[in-house]
Amino acid sequence: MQATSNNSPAFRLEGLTKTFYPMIPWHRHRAVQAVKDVTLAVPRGSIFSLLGPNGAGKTTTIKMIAGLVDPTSGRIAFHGEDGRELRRRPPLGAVLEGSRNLYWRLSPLENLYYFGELKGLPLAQIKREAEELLGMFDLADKARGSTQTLSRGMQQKVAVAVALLGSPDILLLDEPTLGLDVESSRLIQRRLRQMVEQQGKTIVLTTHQMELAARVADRIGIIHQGRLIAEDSLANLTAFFRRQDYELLLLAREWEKLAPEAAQFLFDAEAAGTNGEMRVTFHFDSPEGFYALVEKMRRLQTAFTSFKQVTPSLEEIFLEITRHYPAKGGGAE
Amino acid sequence: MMRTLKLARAEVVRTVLLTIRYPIEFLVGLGIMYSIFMGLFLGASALVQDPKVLAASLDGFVISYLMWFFVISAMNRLAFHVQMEAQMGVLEQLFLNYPNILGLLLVRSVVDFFESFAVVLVLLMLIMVTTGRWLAIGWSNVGEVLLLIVVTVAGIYGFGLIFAGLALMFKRIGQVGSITQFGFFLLAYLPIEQTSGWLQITLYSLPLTLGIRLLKAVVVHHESVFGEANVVLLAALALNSAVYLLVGSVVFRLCERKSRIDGRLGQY
Repeated sequence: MQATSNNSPAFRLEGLTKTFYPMIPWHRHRAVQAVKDVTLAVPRGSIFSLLGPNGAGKTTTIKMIAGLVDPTSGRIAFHGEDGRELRRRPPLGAVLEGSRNLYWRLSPLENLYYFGELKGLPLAQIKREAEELLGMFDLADKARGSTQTLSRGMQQKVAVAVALLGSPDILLLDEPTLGLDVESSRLIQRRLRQMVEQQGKTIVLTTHQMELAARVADRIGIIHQGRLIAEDSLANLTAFFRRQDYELLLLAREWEKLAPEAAQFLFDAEAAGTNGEMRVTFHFDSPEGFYALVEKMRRLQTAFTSFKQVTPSLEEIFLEITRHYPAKGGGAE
Repeated sequence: MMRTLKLARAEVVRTVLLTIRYPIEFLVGLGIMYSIFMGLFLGASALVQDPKVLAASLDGFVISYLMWFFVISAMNRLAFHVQMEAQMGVLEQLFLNYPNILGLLLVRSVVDFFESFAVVLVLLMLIMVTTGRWLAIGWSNVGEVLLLIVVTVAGIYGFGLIFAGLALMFKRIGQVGSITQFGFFLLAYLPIEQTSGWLQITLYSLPLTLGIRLLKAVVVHHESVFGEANVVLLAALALNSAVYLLVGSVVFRLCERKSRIDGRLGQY
């Protein structure tokens, strides 16, 4: 996927670090470094997905971007301007995980009006946008009922709609589809892509749902134990990891002949289906290994059904990258 | 300025909607305050046997009670907003959409004041009808009464901001609020006029006490707040309230800053 608009960053993080200290001064040795020296530029008009396990520092990072948590050190710049002064930040919309984000006792429409007024929008604009947003998220018929009676998915859609009021350039979404049914999740994903492609919005979403990131993100950052350990487009990440793994599909009796010769490259072997076939995965540290295996197969005249380069899923890429960073404590959502 | 007015409108609408939608909550609150008053009133009537003494002190009794109601509304509401909104998970949205959260709370204070004022009016009518004691508030002194209420309550909102700041950092501070309410209850009924020296100065430097004294002067003793004896006290009350409001704002800002550093804004 490619960024759809120009590539000047919507915002840039430089050496962003956050350490949480306990309130009791003599417990300072129990400080938790949640985010460590994160440097990152998110292009305008793109979706950036921050992936990481629980406690990796995703939420802390997104809250620092939103101005809800002060960084211990480092800098955030929006459109090249220092973002430390909250009033000088561009308008941001955000939906935060673990929060309701809405007044449940008010209706979706009343929430939209209340937050619209808080944002300083004129009533006519709130009315127009509220109608558009409720329509966009298929909520028009639920607009006047109590928010607390809506399903989790509908509440999340209302929260995203509220975040979109006033058409902020940057939208921060923390686990936006967590716990949603497939239909609601897909609808939100579609709307996010539309907003990027048609309106040039910049969206940052944190998730540990690999499928969501793979489906909508232009760029992916992997955060682990507070550090941003990889950041690239899905295509580049896939290309990078694709080079090393190959999958061979062959009959079990053929594999029995080849196995002793190929043991040094073997990564995994398992039965595939019910027709006596085996799926064997090889991992090569260099192209020479691949050529050596092909030569052995040629010599043994190994018959096979298919032999192809493995395209790793984002989940596999994530596991591969994080495997090199064993748990050392630290990190916090 | 326009944005502040928009905010005020939004807060009024939200408050009215929630009051209309949950009337039982409102009515039960009113009933509890009325019951507490009647309990105190009947207790006082039983204790004071001399009808003349009783009649002389009842007006002050009613004023102290109503001002105490203002105190608990002013003090608790701001902290309650913060605590409930943290619990409901909307506090961070407020910070995101209106970064000047102190400004938002000050606007809420004004809206809350009008709501409390409406409740006090209803409560006062109920009390006056039930007890047969009609406070001497008329066209001649209603302006002075309102002025005194506004200036007194402004200082208490300063106290409320301190509690709101603490709620921002620690979230559950209900017990501290209860103890402070009790403290203010004592202040409302203490015969401070009978104390002297530093004790009297200290007690009058607290919020509420000067305001109640002046209100009693206007309503019970039919004095003018702009009279020679009272105008100095009025100036002292205004200064007192301004200081509490300022201190409350500073403490709130410090708590807000600390909460941002500690990442506690959204925690509950």
